[in-house]
Amino acid sequence: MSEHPTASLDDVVHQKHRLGILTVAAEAKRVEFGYLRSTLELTAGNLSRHIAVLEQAGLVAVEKGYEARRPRTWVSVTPAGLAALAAEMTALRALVERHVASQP
Amino acid sequence: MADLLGDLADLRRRARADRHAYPFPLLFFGVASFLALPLYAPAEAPSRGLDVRHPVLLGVYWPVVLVAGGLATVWWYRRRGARVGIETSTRGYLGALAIGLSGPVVGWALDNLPFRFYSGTAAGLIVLAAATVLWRRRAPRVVTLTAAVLGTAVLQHDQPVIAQFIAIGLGLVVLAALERSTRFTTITAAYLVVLCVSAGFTPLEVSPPTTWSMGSVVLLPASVLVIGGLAGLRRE
Repeated sequence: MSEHPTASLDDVVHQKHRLGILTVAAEAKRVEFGYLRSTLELTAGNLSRHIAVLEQAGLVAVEKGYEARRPRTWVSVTPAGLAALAAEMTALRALVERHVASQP
Repeated sequence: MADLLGDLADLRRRARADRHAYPFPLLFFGVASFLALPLYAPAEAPSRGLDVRHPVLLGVYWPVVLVAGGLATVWWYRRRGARVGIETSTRGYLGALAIGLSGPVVGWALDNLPFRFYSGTAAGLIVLAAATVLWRRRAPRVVTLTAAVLGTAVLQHDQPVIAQFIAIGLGLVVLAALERSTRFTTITAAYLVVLCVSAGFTPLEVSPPTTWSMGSVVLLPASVLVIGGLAGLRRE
């Protein structure tokens, strides 16, 4: 019997906001902190915590700098982050398919 | 769970829409193409094909436009990325333009091989299509690059009158793949179709040649670029 799709879910990636961060970051070379905050509708503190978790897991890289004297933080997804996101999406789709198939 | 997948799809769509910046390269190359029209004035005593009055000027104009346009596009994408907060990678685009610019050099090298090199538009297109498949399948970079350089060079060697538009088209194909925009992909496809039509049916042999008959090779692709750029601006 095949393994249940929930076994493939990664706790670090599966959290809704972290999944959102990875999804947006995977679409671009890099994403600015302010853009993520407004797109995901998170507070700065909350977003910082989620980014820190992803950075610690090696799924995103954080780059801090200045532009026109304003501090800016850019987030980019790493190859490990891309792989983790792809695995998570596959597991989520498998779960939905399983749920639909089990409906009477 | 299905809601979560739907939310993620919405996020992906929004991120893609926010980073679209394609009107700039379309308008730049479109306007630059129209500006090139006076350079297509026929020579005093024209022979066959593209015999213009200022061949050196025309020969310099396009490489300058391609380099300036490539650098300006990269600058535009970075500037827009900094303003909006989401940046598209332009490395692949620069690589495509470099391949387009290297085409004539590689073509010259192919002409000077110790054996006779037979080129053909179909061969160039097939090799370029193979390069595109290799790129999408993430084949080793050296193989993809070799196929792309060779395909472009053969195509430009066989279609020298539209060589600059082949280079622009190569850049647009890469940008369209990076942007993942249906509208931009459609504009790029229209541009490539028009380029084929332009190469096949341009009345270069009209007698006596005029600036318009000589420059007609520029008109169709330039029009698609400008109209595509304006359509993109309207969307924004």
